[in-house]
Amino acid sequence: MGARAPLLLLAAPALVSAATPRAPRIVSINPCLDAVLVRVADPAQIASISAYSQDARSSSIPLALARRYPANAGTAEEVVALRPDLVVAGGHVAPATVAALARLRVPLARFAVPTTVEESVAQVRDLAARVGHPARGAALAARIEAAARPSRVTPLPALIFGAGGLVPGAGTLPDDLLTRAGFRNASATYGLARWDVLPLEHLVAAPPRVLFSVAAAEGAGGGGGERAEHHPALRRLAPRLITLPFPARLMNCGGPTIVEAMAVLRGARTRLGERR
Amino acid sequence: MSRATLWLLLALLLAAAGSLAAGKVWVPLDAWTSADPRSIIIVELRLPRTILALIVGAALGVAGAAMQGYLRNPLADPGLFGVSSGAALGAVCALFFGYAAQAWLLPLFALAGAAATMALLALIAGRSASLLVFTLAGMVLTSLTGSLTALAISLAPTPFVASEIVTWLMGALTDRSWDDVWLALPLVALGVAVLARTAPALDALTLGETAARSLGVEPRRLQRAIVLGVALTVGATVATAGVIGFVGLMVPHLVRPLARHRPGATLWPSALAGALLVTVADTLVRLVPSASELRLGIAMSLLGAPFFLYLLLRLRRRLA
Repeated sequence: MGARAPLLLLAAPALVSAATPRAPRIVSINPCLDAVLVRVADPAQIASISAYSQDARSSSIPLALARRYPANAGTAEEVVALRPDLVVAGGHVAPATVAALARLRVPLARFAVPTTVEESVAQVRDLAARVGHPARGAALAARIEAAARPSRVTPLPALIFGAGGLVPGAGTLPDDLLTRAGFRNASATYGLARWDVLPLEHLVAAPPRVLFSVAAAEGAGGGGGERAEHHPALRRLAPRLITLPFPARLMNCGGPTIVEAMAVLRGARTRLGERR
Repeated sequence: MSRATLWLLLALLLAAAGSLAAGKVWVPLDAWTSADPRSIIIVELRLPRTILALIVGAALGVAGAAMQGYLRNPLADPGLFGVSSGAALGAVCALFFGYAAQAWLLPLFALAGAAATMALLALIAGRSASLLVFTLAGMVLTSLTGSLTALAISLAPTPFVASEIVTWLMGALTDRSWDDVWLALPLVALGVAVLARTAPALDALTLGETAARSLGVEPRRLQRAIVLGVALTVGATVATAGVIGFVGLMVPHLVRPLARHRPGATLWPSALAGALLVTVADTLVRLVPSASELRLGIAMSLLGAPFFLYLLLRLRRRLA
């Protein structure tokens, strides 16, 4: 894998699995890592998962599966009480919690928010290796890579309208997924930053072909962006602009979620055919 | 008065013990001192957290009492000078540029923010000791640093950084360490000492500015002492715990009857009552049966606002 390892190792734990015959017990305080963990680790290895995984709005795993594991709120005292061999966390943890875990010598591995499929796949392999099941990691990575195989069709200009009207632009995972599914992210044509709110005037002046809308998927009360997305101006664009639902939870994580998100995007691209 | 102080001290001891025992993880008493690994939770997490709650509460209480005494306004709050929002802006900058990976950088940025705001305030207020210029300058700085903080949130490169900043701004004592205690303790102690020395001047001020001057109060020296003391106490508080509102506003009102309404005499009881309030509130947020911990800053306002309204209603009845 040529991608740079996007992992930030703070407590520098040696690979626990190599040192001890017993499989390492893991605590995850990040819902995205939970989704990888439940697929590569043995259930007995998972001491606790993030409380976000037990909430339908933020979970990336089935709720029935999430309820089998004790949840944590990501505080150091919960983690310490479980005495895990490794804690896995995302890139944006409260600084006090990171410092507390380092001080208490709890091995901590941090995984930054992936911005490309390559980064996400590298994280899956890395996490699986730390858990002691590199083969499962390789299998999951292969599934993700297969799902995210770049399409050869002519790219259609598209835009993802996320919760709160946030549009992912260049340098984000949803942008990479759009490109691989046979779309061209229109975010750059409006001069938007990495994550930015798109003023409706720009959208109306030069609409993309397709708008993937979180609000259309969640219905009223889904995200905070429905005010803009239900604007009459957008409805009048209807013949020129195809609005398709895109579930908000597909924007939350990389990892196995990529498979699901690519299915939605690729399905849309196939249905649109070669239409321009 | 001294009897009330004794009761406050006793309540404080009980609250501290409760804060040590309460949490998401129940640690039985026999695991506190033995070689049990759960003792780590008590020694390395709960103990510094409890002590920091006491320090933060005392700092905010004293700062609030001094501000209300100095401005002779019961609505004054330690946040009014812009020190608190300036410190918050410093910390937000650390989070924005991703410097917070180094544990000591965030509090350092917050302290720098507090110092910079204090310097600006001194510069704007200049040689004048006018309360009006001074208060307005503080309010403008609060508004300016507040909007810069909002700017940082809106310019955050990813939603994850934005939510990290917003979460930090809400204020909490979760997972604080002895490092935070050692950072806050000397600064708060120094600040409280500076503020405590203003007590006679604050008492004299109740007679009016001219009378106070004739009693030997030097207005510019008093102003400098108040600014320095508030900056030290509030700056250290924000650097270690984030923005925790309402304590400084509410506590002086609670203890004023005990101090027979002399502003100078409210300082020490305010420290005790502030420490008590924050420790109890921080214990309660851990006991709320929600998945994630309720943020202390939010809990403080939730607790404080109704209580404050009740006080206001009682006050209105007495005045009517």
